[in-house]
Amino acid sequence: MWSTVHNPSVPSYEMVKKINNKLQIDYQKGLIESRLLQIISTDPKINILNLIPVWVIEINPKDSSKALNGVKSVTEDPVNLQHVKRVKKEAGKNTLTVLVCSKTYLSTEEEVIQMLSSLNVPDYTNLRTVEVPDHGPNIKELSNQWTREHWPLIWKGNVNDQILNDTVINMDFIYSHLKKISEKSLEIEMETQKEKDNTALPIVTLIAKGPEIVAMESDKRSPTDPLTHSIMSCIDQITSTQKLNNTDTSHQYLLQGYDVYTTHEPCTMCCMALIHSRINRLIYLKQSCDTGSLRSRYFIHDNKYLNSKYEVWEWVGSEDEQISNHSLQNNGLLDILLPKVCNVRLCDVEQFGDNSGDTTEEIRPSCALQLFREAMHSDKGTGLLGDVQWDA
Amino acid sequence: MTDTTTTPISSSPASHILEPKHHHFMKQALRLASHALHTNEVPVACVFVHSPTNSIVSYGMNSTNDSLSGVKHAEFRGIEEILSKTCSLPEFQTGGGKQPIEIFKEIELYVTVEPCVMCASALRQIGIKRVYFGCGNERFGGNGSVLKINDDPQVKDLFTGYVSYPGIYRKCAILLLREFYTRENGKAPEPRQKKNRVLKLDEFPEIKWKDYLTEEEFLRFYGLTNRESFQNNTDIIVPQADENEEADLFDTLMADPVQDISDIIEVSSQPLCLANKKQKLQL
Repeated sequence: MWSTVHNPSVPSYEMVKKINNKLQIDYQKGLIESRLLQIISTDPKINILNLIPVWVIEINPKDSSKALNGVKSVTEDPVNLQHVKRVKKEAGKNTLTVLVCSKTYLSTEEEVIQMLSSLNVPDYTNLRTVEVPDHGPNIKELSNQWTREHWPLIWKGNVNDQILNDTVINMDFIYSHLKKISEKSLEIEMETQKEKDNTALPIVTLIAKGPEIVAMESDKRSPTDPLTHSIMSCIDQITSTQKLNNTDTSHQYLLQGYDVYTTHEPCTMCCMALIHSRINRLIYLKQSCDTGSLRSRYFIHDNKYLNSKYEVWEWVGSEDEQISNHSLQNNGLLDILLPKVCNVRLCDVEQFGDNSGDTTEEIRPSCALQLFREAMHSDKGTGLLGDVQWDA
Repeated sequence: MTDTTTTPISSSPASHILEPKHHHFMKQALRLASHALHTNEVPVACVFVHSPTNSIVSYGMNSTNDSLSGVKHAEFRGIEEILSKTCSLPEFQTGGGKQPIEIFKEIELYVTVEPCVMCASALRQIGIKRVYFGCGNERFGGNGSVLKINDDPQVKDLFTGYVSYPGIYRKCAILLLREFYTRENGKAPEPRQKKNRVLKLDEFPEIKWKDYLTEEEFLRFYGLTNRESFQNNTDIIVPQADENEEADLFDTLMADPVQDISDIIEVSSQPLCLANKKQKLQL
């Protein structure tokens, strides 16, 4: 079970079971069918290597279970070591190297010797410190690389790959809903251009349960009505209808199972109103850099400190002029794809056995942009980017 | 951002918290919360006060259960009432009145529980002057407990934000919430005798002042004498207040089967009176 011999062959890409899943999923970019970009809050340092010192000993392989039972009974170590294997088999040695504890926990050799004897760990040699990664990355290839270069890690799979694989997407009605709000938005824009006094914002929201539309509202805010944003209006409309049709006052006021389609990344108030309403999913067309509170800041839909979560996707499809004009005017698209592009590079480096590039080094934006373009052009004509003009 | 309360700290040993209006208005909010509790709503409520005239201009109670809507928080009812009162002023209808944003910058909110992330954003978008609240909200508080929406410079809203001061009748606000959750669990104990009810300090979570205010903002409002509270995350001490005042208040709120709030409804149903002259609070 604790066999740790590393096989240094070419790393294989993680295979996610795709039974019944006919969707085309790009797990690294978080992109489904080249149209829906997953918006999640990820730790920006997740794939950055940081080493910490730990105490190790060498033991005879026949003593391994005794030694392991001993060191695993230490529960007071403040450093989480669940991502590393406890035993390493080094090439050319007939001993096993066992990780005892972090140096943060015990700082001196004497303390470690004392603890090992109290734990009845059998004869050991070569007590010393080595450096191990302080956390595991979310890319298998990187996990293998850190294992090769530093210390064996435990790979439990990328949780988000499974989430992407389990995502149920019906592109037909998603597209139809988005087209509807996009057309309405354009209509409002045309009207405001015609009439000078008309200051209506071209923001439209539609709430649906699968293909069935239950509410659609445009933005009605004004100086005397500053909070009547389209999402708030939709929620009000649905809940007042529910109240009319439902005399039972049990907890049925929530919008569980409903999906929200909206032209613009919503503000903090609306994002949180959707948490309170327990919606299932939100898809938006265009990022709002100043006030948006999903991808632009806060990731309110995916904040572990708040009491609930929902899925969020940005539409990046380009086959329809009208919808794509909305989403792709947006130069900010690059911001979110950049880190993902950097991940592509990390994998490429390892895959081709090119160790000349320092993988922890920050990749310059221009370089990343170039990689991004290459990656997109090799996308075999799915046309994620269409004819977007990149204003650097 | 810094508050407009501009007296230098050193020259102002008497703290603003001693002004009786803060406890007076929070007490009204607590009475409304108690009313909400007795009508099976989450006991969170608020009053909006026009600060130049020291008058309650609207109120709100949580009504998520009655409306079957998760977004019907107390603050929204209060905001809507002010908006509709603004629009029905004769001078507004003839085109000469103040716009709502000019009115909100003279309005302060007293709410029993920290505004949630949604309400914090709404209050900022309307340009509220200042907020006072009782207890924090660890699950979705938007004035510092989870996010600090009220004055985060990251958001480029119309307004840069507002300062909020927590801790006014904090224990009472917490006890009302506890009362609701024990009732809902169906494990409501028999009402305890008044003399048995003791507010023990160690039964309450600490108040992490630094989540809500800088030390300077804190000292300006609560005074130098409360500096230790800021450092130790403990409740502020209001010298004149009777030690048992808060416990007695809670008992009074619990004693009435349904808290009579007709006086607050009456006051806030008056048309907006935006006299320029400052008026002292009549208690």
